[in-house]
Amino acid sequence: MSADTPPLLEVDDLCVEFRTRRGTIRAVNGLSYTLHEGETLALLGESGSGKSVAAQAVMGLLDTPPAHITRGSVRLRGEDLLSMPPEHRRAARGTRVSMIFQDALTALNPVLTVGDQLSEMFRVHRGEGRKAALARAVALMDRVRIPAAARRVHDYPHQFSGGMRQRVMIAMALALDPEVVIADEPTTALDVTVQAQIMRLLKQLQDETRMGLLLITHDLGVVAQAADRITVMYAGRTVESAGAEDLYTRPGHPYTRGLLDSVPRLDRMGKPLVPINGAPPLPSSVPTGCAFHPRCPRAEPRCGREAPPYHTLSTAGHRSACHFAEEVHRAPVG
Amino acid sequence: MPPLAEAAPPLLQATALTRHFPITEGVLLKRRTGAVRAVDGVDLTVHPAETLGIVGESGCGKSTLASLLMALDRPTSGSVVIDGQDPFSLSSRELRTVRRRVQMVLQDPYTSLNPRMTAGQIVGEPFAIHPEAVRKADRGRRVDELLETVGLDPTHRDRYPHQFSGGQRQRLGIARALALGPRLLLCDEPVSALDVSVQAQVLNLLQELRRDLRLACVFISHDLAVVQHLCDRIAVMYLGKIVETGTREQIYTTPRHPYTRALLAAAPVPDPRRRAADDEHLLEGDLPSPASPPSGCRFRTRCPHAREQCLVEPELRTRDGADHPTACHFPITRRNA
Amino acid sequence: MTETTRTLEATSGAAEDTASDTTPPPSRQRASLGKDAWFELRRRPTVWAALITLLLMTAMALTPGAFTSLLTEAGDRCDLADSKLGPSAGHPFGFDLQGCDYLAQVIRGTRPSLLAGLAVTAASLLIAVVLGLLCGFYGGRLDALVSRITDIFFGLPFVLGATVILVAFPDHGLGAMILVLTVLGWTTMTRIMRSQVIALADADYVRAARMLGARPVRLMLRHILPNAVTPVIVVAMLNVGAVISGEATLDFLGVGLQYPQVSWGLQLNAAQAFVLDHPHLLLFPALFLSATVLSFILLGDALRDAFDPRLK
Repeated sequence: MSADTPPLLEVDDLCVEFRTRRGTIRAVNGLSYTLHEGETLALLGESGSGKSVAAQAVMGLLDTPPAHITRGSVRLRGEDLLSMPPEHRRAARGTRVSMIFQDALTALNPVLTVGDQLSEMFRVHRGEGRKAALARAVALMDRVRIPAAARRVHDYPHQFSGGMRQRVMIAMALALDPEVVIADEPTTALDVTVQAQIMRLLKQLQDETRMGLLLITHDLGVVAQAADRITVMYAGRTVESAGAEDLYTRPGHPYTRGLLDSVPRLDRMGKPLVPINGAPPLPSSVPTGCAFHPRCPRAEPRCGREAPPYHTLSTAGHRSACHFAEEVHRAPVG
Repeated sequence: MPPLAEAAPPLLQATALTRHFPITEGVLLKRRTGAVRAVDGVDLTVHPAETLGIVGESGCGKSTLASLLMALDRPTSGSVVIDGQDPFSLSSRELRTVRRRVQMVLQDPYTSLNPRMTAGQIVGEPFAIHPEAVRKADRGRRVDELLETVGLDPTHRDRYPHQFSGGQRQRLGIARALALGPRLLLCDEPVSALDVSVQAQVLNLLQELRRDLRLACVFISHDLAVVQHLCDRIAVMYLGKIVETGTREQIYTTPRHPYTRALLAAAPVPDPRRRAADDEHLLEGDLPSPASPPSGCRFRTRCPHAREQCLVEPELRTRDGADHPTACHFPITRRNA
Repeated sequence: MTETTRTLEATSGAAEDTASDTTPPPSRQRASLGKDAWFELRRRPTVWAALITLLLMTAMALTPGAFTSLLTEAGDRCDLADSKLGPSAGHPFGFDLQGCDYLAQVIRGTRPSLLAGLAVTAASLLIAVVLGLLCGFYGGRLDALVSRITDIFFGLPFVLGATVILVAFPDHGLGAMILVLTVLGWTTMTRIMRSQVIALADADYVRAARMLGARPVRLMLRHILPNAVTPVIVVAMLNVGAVISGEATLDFLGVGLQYPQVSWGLQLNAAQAFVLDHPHLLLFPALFLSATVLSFILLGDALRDAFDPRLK
């Protein structure tokens, strides 16, 4: 990646509001990240952190009203998606940017066979004939390691197991060779053994296609196993972003540190958990200043007043939105 | 297991516990065409003040097992003994007294509290059901104590569930379960519906309660790390059967069943420096349907070591003298690990 | 201050739905339902119009005398000489067949209509709640039996069924009417109640109460009923309107209330022969009838929308 070629996907200071009759909710409030070719970027956040809304905004799946993108830009290879005419945007969906949803059972049409749904992509976007498109569908199912693809192509979604359905979802997302794939909690609904299979598959496919993968999840384990870089979201805002190893070994934000100390881990048997107090805020009532300050162990009065700017920490590309980022970063991880 | 615990009579014991759900066809004339073998011959014992973890993936029958152990559902065969009594042979009055000794914390704090009752009513309901437990005059004070025990502000007793966060709601559920002073608490995935940053609060609370109240616990979860954190002894379930039981150290450091090892290998460790390199232990395929489990060893369709002998069902038994039973013909030993 | 907090609280549900990250908490919405629904209802002009109409109608049904003496001159006097005269000063609705002031007569007709509507709905609601709770909770043979009976009554054609039964009652009084309309109208609400109860009998909080050793009565009354009854109440609201028009239909067809009783249905019946020459005879009772029925239906619809989280 030379400096003059624009990154694959660049989201800068994105803000999304929901304007309902009962008030305005800022679901995303200043999200920035950069995704490069062949890279996996994890968007880590809890429920209500705005991570799914942000993904839908990038995909152009939000309905206006009630959702309004009030600020920021989403650039795909330097081209601003938000200011694109709607037809171009729609054409980019699936062909350049595509998405894997959490719940494959609701994301697939239950009355059409898997083959119909896969081949439709080729017929609509590539104008291929029925036979050719179906052959492509079978090849695609082979590619996502669905056994006996030629036979199963005529099955309906409910005839597949959870893991196989998620593979179908992945096949659909990859059908038109997109440059960016957004996976929104792709394994949350799955069991651990199946989750491991799906994550391995995504990695293999990424190695084949050099796609940029945006992995949206709340699972610290999945992120650690899959991500190259990580952006942590809290209450709609990026609070920290760093390379995966850097983030886990030397977090620069008290929230990230709190998360790491509070999950039970197989590799730290019997070690006491240090929980984060309180609960994540509702998007409708985000605290002033630093949104994390009511739960932060080291908050000072000014944290409630001033929203912290991003501090760049020692390591390249490690940024944290905390007034005490340097100190937190320096403290050893216990 | 310490010999002391062995001496005390078990608080909860299940023997050859089985629950099959019939599959019927036809609208008017229902014909029985098969059965989902949700729980199929489970033996387990919980001693006082001990914590037993039950780990398994969805569809392994762990929630059905929970219902059976709590006498909410009748087994197809086999028996449950709670504190020396068989709940299914008791009159409803006697069963109610048994219920004071075993209680349950449910998974989803958003659905397990009646939305039209206040926190105080929810936590005080056990006393309304068992008026003999606490004198009427003392109930208000007892509810406040319970709320404090689980870390809630007693002045919030008039709030409705929706005014609490997920973690606080789960605390309410725990307070309700503790109201009658149970000796055993069964927790069915008590933190899986909570936000990551809140899970630790509830796990720590459960750990404190267990210690302070000398509670026995049965902790059911799909999350190995959570179970590992809380439990003394662990049983691993696969397709309605227990495939391995042992102490926490035995299960996590020297798993003997290939399924246990695969579960451990698949669990993502939150440390990028420890990426799972050993793809060899990852399983292929999905869980077979419990309506038509494989013959013989149920794990053989996904087992990397399956051989002809696995067509014969293995018993859950100890081998080599160690107190670490597995249901596998070829358990993992240090030599072949 | 409190107002804004409540608004923010109410909005949180909607936001979580759109921003459904892991598990959108459904009950957070459910719980604030009552408050939320009232918030929703308050801002609809149709709700206010319907409420005012119904308040007015109720007042007329309770104290018809006060309205007649206020709105008409000598409203109680009937003179055959005035028969079928059109509206005039002091008699805005004109006169009926017998030469009585028509406004006074229409006001007097409010009581049986409203009474029938409310009594029938109340009786049906009671049947629905009791049967729905028992069948939904216990299931088994009782449920199978009641369900088949529900099917049979559901299949009865309304007008034919009512005619057959009413002919058996010689006096055709209001009591008989209420009985007949209840017998033919309890099924819908019972079905809804039953399905609600079945869904809730497996709810986690019911399971938790079972775990505590709660007896069936407590489970049904404390846990299931309060959470199951909302959609049934909404249907009951719609039902009042349907019953009122059903009662009028039977009066109109001559199998319902009989002269000298006064009701909108009877007035419409009497008007039918003279519609072309004296349209006011049809117009005014029809107007009152429609306004009342429409108000109940609008209110029921608004309630349903307000309580339905999917429409938010």
